[in-house]
Amino acid sequence: MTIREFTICLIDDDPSVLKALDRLLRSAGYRVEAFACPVAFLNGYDPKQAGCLLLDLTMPGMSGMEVQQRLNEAGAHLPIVFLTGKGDIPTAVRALKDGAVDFLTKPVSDEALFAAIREAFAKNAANRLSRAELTLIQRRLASLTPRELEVLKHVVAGRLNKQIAGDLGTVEKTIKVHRARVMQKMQAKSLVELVRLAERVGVVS
Amino acid sequence: MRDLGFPGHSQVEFSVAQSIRPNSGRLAIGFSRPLPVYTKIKRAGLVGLTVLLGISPAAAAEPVRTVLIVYGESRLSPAIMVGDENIRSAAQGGGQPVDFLTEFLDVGRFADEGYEALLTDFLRGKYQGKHIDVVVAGGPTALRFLLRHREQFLSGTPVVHAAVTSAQLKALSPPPDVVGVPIDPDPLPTLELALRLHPQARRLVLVTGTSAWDLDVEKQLRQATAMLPRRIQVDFLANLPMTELQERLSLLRSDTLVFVGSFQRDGAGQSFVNRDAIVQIASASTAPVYGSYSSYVGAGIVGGYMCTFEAMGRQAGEIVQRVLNGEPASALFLPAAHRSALIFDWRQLQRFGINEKALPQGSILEYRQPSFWETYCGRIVTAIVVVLLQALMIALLLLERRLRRQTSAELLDSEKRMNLAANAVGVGIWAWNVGRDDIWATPQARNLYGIGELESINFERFLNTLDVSDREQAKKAVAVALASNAGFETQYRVNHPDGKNRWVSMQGQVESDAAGQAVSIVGVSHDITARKLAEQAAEQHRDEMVRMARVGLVGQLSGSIAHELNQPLSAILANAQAAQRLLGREAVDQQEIRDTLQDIVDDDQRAVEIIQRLRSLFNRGESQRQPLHPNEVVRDALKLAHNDIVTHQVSLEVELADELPVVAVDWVQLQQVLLNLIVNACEVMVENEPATRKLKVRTWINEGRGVIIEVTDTGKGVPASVAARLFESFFTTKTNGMGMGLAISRSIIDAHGGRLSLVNNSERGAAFRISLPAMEVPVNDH
Repeated sequence: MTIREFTICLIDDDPSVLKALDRLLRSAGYRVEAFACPVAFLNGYDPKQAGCLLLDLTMPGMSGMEVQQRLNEAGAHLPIVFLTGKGDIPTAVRALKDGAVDFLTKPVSDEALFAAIREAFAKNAANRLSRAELTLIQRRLASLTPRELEVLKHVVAGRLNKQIAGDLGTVEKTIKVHRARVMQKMQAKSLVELVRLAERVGVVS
Repeated sequence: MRDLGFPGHSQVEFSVAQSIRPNSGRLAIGFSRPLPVYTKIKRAGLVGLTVLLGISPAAAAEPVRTVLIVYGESRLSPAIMVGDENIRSAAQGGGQPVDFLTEFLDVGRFADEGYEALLTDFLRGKYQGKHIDVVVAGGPTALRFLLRHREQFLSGTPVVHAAVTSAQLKALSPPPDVVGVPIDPDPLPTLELALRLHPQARRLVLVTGTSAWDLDVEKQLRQATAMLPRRIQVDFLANLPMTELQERLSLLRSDTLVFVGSFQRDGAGQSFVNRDAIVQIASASTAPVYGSYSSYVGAGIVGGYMCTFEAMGRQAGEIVQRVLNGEPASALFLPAAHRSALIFDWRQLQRFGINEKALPQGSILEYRQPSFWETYCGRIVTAIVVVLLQALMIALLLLERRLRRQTSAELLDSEKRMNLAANAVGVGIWAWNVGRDDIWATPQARNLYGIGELESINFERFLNTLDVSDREQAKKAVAVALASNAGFETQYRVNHPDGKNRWVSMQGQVESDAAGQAVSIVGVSHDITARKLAEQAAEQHRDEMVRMARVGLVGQLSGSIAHELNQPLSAILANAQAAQRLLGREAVDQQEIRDTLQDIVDDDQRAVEIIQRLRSLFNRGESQRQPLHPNEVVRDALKLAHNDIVTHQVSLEVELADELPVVAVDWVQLQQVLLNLIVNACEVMVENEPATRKLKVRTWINEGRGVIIEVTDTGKGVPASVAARLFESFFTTKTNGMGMGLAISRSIIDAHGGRLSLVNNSERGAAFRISLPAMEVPVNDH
């Protein structure tokens, strides 16, 4: 992915700051969408859009922290870089715990800003990749018959074929057949890989 | 010639005829020794007095009657005086004015025809042409002279006689116009009385003289004694010389009584005034002596029936008055004889032990010596009263002494208790007598000021114990209290001789007299050093806190400003770096560069403004006021508070009135106040849902003059209990608050002549209202 595929959403209530940051980011070749207030952003942004959010912490109406919370609740995986005029440590810690990529204090140098943005993009890319994999695994999982899913759960739990047959009230030979089908459908080359895949989709608790 | 009427008064000393007028007589008393020059004045005075007394009109209405009183004697003897006085007063009893003329003939001693002829000639000459209405003959000798010679100088004038006995009258056989009541000195009643008073008497001795009159009387006595009871032995001592008579009388037994008839001459031929003879006889006699002439009373007789000269004079005067009233003298109806009175000498009664109660009713007691009680009644009563009063006073004094002892004992107790109490609380008691400038003080008080136990104290001494810088103030406090008669309280430092200086609080009360003049001051003093030190320490702490709070407020303000500065700086940096990148491109967009640079300039300008404000915040001295528009000040404050408003997710509503007057304020201070109110409001509303966090800032004109700035929140409001103390220092409802913000804010607004107050919001929350006066606009005359 190139940076052209990413869009930076910028929110700041101070118009001159908003304009200057917009200009700086554009000059560096980023695609930027500037919003003067959080509400405008929440109403106007595209959740499928790759990129990150450059968020002013203190704004009238809704604070940066609240915007982060809303996005998390909505399941959006837009990485956030906070920008603040008066950064205090408790707020920064909370922001980072809640998934913020960075917490920058104004005025911010372009290097620090771009580094944070790059990290955010990487995180966003990783997010997007893992989410694509997950979708694939889920799709494979969905192709399993209920009997195969049963067998899968037992296999990843580390049980032997004989034990599984006993539990399910069938013979070992039948289990072996199911097991081979599961391995094939899940495109797992080994038992270890099967367990990893099962973990990704939450079959193993 | 016999002198019957006035026994014992026959001597003549001068013979000048005298006219006695009652008025002149009274006047003569007033001027006891008149000088010759005085005579005329006296006359004039007499006329004046007469007019004044209202006598003149009466005198003019009827002529003054003239009465001539003639005495055979030579002078005004005591008997004549009494008689004369009574004649005059009785003769004037009718109210008409009477002129009295008096003649003392002295015919007793000059008893020959030649003298009488001369006297008659003199009287004729003297009274020629003078009308005499009545002539009074005072005594038998005068009557005899008048009967002989009246026709020669007072022809036809009626004569009234007095003190003439029936026997004498009979002998003289007067014509009908000579009238009067004769006296009848009958010795028998007196003799019988004497025997009654002395029942033990067995012998009666009668003493008489040898003169013709004496012999007449003796004859009467002999007739009278024949009437006495037989058991009484009657002896006459007659014809004896006085000395022998006295000797005989001195040997009389106790059952004997003596009666003296008349004694004008003794057996040796010596003449006596009757009264003098009686004195000698009575003094020699061992037995009680009686007699029946009133002139004997007082000379030594016990008493007897007798005619008084007073009664005789009055009788004659009454007859004169009747004659003057026009009754013909010859036609008067008069009693046959004079009534006699029973008179006793009280001293003789005492001497012979005669009980007063045994005397007949109507007896007259003379020479009665008043008893001790009668004499000294007044003094005795006075003395008793004085003694009683003294006794009472002594009793009262004793009682008072007891009460005082009791009181002083109670006082002592009370003082002990007071001292105990005063000691317990460490209070010294004192009293200053202002007039004497003397201060009494308890030992504790002396100790407090470091004054010796026995040292006397005056105000100066007290003042000198004080710290020099506190003396004037203490003096003033006392002076004010004295002038206003009020209580007072003052505090000062005492330079104690032990080197330790103390703070002493003194409370006093002025006590004044009835006139309101301050007499004394009583009061208490106590050591407040510990309290004072604690107060000073607290004060110091408080000052420190206030200073810290101020620093805190300035910090809050400058923090806000710093945050505000971040924005332009951020924009500048971003723009500058953007410009660098734009310039690094192959195709440089000139317009874009220009816009960027312009933005940098704008943001820089913005930053400069903020920095200037920040600088002014620190560079401006204490409270520099300048004319500012209230709305501008509010906008500045909102900018500064922006971060807090946003952080607390508070929605802001601003309502600024147009055309507000300019106010003279210190920008920094007002920013502090507004910022404090706004930040408080934001913090208070944290408990609300963000949607209900509403901050409203309004300005409006305050009733014509001045401005009101109001900061309203929608917090939970301020309870009444808190509101009362809200502006106190160190009062806070915040867990980490210092409680100085509002206190300092209020002091700042007060210093601006305004007021910071709390108004509870009608719906919810609190409203803080700043009222500021409009700036005085200087008036231009030109």
